Amino acid sequence: MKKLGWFAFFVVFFASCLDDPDCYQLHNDIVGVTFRVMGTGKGDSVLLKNFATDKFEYGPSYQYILNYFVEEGVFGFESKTQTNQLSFGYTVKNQFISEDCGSAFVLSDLRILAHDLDSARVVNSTPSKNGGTNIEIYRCPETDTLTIDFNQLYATSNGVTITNKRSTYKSHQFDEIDADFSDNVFTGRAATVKLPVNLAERATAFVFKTGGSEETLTVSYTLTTEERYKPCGTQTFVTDLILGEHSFDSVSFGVDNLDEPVTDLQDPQISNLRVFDCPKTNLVQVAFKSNNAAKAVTIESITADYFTDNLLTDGPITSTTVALPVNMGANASTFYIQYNDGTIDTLALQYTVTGLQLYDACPDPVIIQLRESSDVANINVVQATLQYQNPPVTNVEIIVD
Amino acid sequence: MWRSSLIKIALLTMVATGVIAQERDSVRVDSLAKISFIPTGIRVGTDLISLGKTQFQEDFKGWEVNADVDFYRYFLALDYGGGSRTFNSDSGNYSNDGTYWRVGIDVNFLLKDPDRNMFFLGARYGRSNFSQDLTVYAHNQFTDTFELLTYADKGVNAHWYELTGGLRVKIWKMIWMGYTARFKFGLKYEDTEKIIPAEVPGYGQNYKDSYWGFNYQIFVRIPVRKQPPLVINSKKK
Repeated sequence: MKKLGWFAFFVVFFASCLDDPDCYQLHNDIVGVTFRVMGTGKGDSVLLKNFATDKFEYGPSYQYILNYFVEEGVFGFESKTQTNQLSFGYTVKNQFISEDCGSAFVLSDLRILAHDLDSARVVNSTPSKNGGTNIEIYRCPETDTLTIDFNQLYATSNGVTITNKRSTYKSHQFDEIDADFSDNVFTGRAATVKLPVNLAERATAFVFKTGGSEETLTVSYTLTTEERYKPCGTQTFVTDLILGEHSFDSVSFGVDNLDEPVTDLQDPQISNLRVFDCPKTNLVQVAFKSNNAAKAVTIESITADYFTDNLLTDGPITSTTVALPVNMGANASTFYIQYNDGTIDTLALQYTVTGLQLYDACPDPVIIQLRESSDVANINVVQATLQYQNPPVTNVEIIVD
Repeated sequence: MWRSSLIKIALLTMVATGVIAQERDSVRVDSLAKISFIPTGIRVGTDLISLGKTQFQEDFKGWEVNADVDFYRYFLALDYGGGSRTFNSDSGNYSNDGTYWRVGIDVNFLLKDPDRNMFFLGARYGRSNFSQDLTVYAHNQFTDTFELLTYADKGVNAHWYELTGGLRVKIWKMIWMGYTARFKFGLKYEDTEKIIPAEVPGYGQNYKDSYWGFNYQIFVRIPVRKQPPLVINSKKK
């Protein structure tokens, strides 16, 4: 026990001698500013101008270097639509560290002097040497934003059982999304769209326009007008969202961390509604090959025995693969693939249309036992069961030597 | 830094080994001996390390007087000292000058030693009053200029705590020598305007939460009454 005591004594003594001051990053001159949303307190990713690069950058928090030769400063937050300022003060002291390191500026007592933001507070009054949050800036929540994400359903089936059900985000090109109280509330390509609901009514109907097709969706909800956050004044909040009529394949509520449906409009937004596209069960995946390697071909047109219009509505394509829709109302389909050199491959397929559906909301049947109607030398069926996966699984190979 | 640390450890090892050996050979005390809390002497000494450093180290001036008085195995210890220190670097200079005192109790663990040599553990409370000056030559990255800053504080007060351990060995008649190792912690200083003390007289450097100190001391022990004799049973052979 006595030896252990002496040992401990020497260890502490020796360790204390080794602890020389660290000359790296002497000054604690970094202040972290984090943006949050009032109410939930969740982080808010904001688009601000980086004055060092003169570019706008997204971020939930930013780090600033303080000038330790003065004891006041101003942060300017320039977004694309507005500029805000926050002035602050701090105390600077100096400590001589060592003859090797010199002295360090020690900053403390960070405090907000004035600002024109919704709300701001100091959460750590001591600036740091390597980052962290010192000031939190809160903005009033947006109360009218409905968030919808778009997904593609997938599954695997052998014609008897269905496995590997899943979905992935799928971006759509929206030529225009109109609300019943305001036209063109969104344009562009996105997998998630944020749409305003009508705070003057208890329901909003949307029309999603893509190409020549339109999808519709209606939601109703409860409106509550009150002052929840003093800096924000009186606001109207949307809760108890109800999904009305829609023309999509499937729509369901998004869920939160507790797996509860997100029926209140929240800020920062999480998906209130999830739109699902059913898998197209009749697509035969064709791959073009040459010398056992993928070969890109230019296809002028694709027609079939059950449709005469060219499948390639946007003109010729150059690709190593193509997806051909077989006729689900029959057990055989024949396709005519015309290449840019004028040659034509005829792909005659037979298959079995089962009564099995991949999802309750998806009525199209599973197709199995794909095979050639008659054996053609340069055409091989390599996967007889259609798989509804991403990336697609090749069913037929066409040799184009 | 390394060389001084190694010297400290070597000294500590040598003296501690002697103490342990001595304790093993010591004799047994009569259990009927009466315990007396009346002091038998006052020991007054000084720190040789401070005096040596003052002589040979240009940037250090210091002195320290140590005294203790016994109450059976407990010793009331008082230290009083003064010092000044100068640090120079390429980017500035720091200097301080002040006095300090410490008060505390040491507990002797060598009760069987006929010479009253002692191995002790104890505690101290220390206070210091000092002035300090700092000159900083630093680059301002916002204006891309170099700036010279000078600061001065007068009458800065600081206090701290220490855990102590060491030896006192009778060398010859009234002359004693010993060392004291000090683990210093809990330094507080009053709010200084612009300078955070780099060093506090009596405490040491302030860049970390705790600090080790070491005194190598010589004492004169002034007896105030005759020490009660130890009643010793001779060892069985």
